[in-house]
Amino acid sequence: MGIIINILRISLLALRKNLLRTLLTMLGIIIGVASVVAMMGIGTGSKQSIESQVNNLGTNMIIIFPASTSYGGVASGAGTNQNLTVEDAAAIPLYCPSVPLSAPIVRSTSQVLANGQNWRTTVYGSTTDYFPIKNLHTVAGDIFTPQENKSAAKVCLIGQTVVKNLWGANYDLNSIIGQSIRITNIPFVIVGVLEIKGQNSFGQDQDDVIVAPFYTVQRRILSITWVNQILASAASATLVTAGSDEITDILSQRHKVLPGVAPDFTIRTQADLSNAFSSISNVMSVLLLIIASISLLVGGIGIMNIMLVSITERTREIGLRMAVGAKGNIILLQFLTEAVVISFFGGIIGVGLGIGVAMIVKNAMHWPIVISVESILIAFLSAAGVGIFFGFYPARKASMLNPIDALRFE
Amino acid sequence: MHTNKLGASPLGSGQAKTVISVKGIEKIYSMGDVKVYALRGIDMDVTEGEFVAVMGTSGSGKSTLMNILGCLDQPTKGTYTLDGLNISAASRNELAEIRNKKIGFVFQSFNLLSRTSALENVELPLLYNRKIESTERRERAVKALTSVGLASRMKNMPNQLSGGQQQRVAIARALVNDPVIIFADEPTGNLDSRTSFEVMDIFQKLNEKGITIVLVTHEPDIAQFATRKVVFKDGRMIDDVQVKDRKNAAKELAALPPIDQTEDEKAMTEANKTNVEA
Repeated sequence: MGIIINILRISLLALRKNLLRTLLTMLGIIIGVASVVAMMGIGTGSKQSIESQVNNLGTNMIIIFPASTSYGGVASGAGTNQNLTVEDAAAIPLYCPSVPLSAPIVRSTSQVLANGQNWRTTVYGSTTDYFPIKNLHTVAGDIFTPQENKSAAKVCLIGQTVVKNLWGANYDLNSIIGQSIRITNIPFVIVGVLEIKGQNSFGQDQDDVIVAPFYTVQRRILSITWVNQILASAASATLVTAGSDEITDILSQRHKVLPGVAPDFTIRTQADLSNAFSSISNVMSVLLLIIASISLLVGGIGIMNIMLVSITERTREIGLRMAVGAKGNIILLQFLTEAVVISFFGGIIGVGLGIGVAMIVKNAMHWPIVISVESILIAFLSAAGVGIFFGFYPARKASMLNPIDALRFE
Repeated sequence: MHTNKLGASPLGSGQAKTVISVKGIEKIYSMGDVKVYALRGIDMDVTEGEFVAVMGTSGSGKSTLMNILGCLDQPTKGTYTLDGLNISAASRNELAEIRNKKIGFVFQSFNLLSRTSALENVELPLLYNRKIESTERRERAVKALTSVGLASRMKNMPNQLSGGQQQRVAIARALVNDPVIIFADEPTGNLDSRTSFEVMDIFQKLNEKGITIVLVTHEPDIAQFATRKVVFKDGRMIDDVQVKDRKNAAKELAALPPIDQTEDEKAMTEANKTNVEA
């Protein structure tokens, strides 16, 4: 124990004696660690922001479309079939344990009229489960009730783009509640205003909508018997795949799809989308990390470089230390300790600097940045590793010196 | 335990023990196919309390012998016993340990650590001895520095000390581990006459207190301060005599034309006085 303290003492003394050289060597590690911390912060931050954007499209959402119809060899594209029903939507939560929520959707593009203005927008008809599936909330009023849905009540919720176009930008949202709006000449009472969702990833304005009870839109506006699509929500992100398999089973059964025949519906999940996005951001993170690692590596080579020079310069000192009784492994430990101390303090300063740089980037460029404890640990441990790895060779070289030759070294 | 040699029985106690015993030592360097005989069979004993001057021209083998005696090198043939330990069979690490515990070195070029205080320089050998705590280390270093008259210069860096003072720091460093023998390799080689006499004075005083010293020099004057003189030539010992008309460095120093005494030299004179009294 005593000898360890002595070695640490010797190393610290030697580092202090050459403060400028010590600091310059440290600089390599500081920059390396700082860039690892900052890059990982930027990488993790952008990944999380992409993930939250994807999640914002709807939590664990599964979308069921009718498959394409083909008439006389002419395929008419996805979503044209008329075979999905309200009963299909209702069956999904009953028979699919992984999918607790589902909502049928009918869609109409309609001319709407209120406050003396008119606007053309998309009117969605769905059940109350539509809101949790799409992660929709109201900023004024409330959503319609299941009873209003059953009785095809003429109530609706409106998105804020619609509000802006009919009432102007600075209209008090609460005063809209209870006002009347005509959708294809049918008067509706506004019961709620939806929270702003912004554009989705494809540039579509998610606020240019009106949501009304399912039966109201299906029967009163569209006069149809089928549904355009069914939205469902798996219990968790990991159950999305299982859920879509269960839905395929139950709908195939209900639609009497024979084995080996393509079903008359298509299932799409958010997983594909979020996988695509997270693989992009993963590539980005790895790329940033590689760049950062290279600077850490360069810092490590800097340590080795300086240590080798330092050992040549201090050959006589090493000879003297050996002459007065320092064993080879003690000399090795001394130089290794010097390298480790340099990377240790370089690591600490680097973590601080990295967090600082990340914060500056966060404030100046409004990038999402997440500094995780892991990234700090990784940066710090790799700095220590670099120190030991690149310090070992020079230290070993020093320890192998012959004291006689070292003492005579000019 | 720390039993200081200071105050041990001086010369002529009648039963002085053998510190160094060398028998049939040969050292052969192989340079490719050519074999260079640096030492061709040396037999030599050094007893406790002796002050041996080793002389010889360069290439005489005296440096090779010093390296072997100083446990920095191993002989090709022959046996070497230091303070009862057989060195010929020791490993690299064992040699380091022996150097640390039993040997003090003084070099021609001082070999002090730069930008390191005199005190820290003297403490150096003790840093490699795990049995010595920091308080004892400090005490022993202060004591060693005081004994060479540098009590007032402990915090000074080597570049703030004169050549003579630096060599005294080096002597203090050689003393601090309480060695059985001190090897001094041309300790006056880089010093002027006055400073050389000062350094030799210190060696003589240490020797009077019973410390065994082996000193390599090529200056016959310096050898006259020793008690015994051995001369090497071509790897063989050609002469081994007791020094006749041994000179006293303190007297030689006094005989030199006077110069203005510096503070430090006063301190050294003081230290010498007290040492003599003690």
